[in-house]
Amino acid sequence: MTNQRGTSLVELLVVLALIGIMVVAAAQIITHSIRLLGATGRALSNPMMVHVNERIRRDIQEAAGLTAVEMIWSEDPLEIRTRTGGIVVYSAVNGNLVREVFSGAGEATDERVVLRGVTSWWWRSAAPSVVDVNIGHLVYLPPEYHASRAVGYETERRIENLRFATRGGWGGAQW
Amino acid sequence: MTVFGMAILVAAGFLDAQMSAARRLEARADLVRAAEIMLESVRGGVLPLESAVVDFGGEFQPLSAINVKTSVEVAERPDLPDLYQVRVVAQAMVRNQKMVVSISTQVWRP
Repeated sequence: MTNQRGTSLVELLVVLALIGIMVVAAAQIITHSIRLLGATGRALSNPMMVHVNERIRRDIQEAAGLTAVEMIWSEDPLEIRTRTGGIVVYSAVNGNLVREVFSGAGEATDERVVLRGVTSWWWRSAAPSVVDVNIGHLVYLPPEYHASRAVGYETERRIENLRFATRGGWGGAQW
Repeated sequence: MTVFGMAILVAAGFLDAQMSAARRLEARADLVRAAEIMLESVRGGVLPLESAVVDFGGEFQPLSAINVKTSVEVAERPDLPDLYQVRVVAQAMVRNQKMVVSISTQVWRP
């Protein structure tokens, strides 16, 4: 009787099957990782939120003042008096953040939704020339971001804490 | 078993790198926001126009679970009175690595 050394065909097939499973699993992990990182990056640099941030910042920086100063957090519309005598109003209406512009005569000249999926809207002016804004909003992430595909898991609620300073002119510091 | 062990090690490495990158992205967004809020506070006069380490815990709530430390550095411009060089710094430790975000600008305070 002779000693048979080496690998049998069955052993070779088993090893090939294991390697195949590994390759498929690794490919799925890499694909998932790339998608997840892309989704995280897009959610964090949400272009709509960047746009809203810059628009509110520009309105408040160039403001002549507020029609009413709230020292504590308020859900009421934020009314900003412009230097040309008009008023810019930000308010949460039916889950949208709406920006309205009124002329000095009180005539509405512009009204548009600047952010959708708004879940909360708060603002205050705890110090002269400074306006704090707190916006809760939904970020719509692609399905691959979540392990569960169940309804309701495709959105994520984020809260943005923003602070804006005017360029002076209504009692605060100038800069 | 060796093949499967290698597979688990490789997968764990991928997942750890992925988590680390996601955390750093979130932390960077938080640090940028903290620096912006502090700069607006200096501009609006909530914070005095002087160099200091600022505890911002009550004003800023990060989206991620990081402990943000903020400071402001102010330098006068000898050539231009009433104009100050301002640098706000927000930093945090993210997975044992220090992340720093700073904004340098000038503030006019007549």
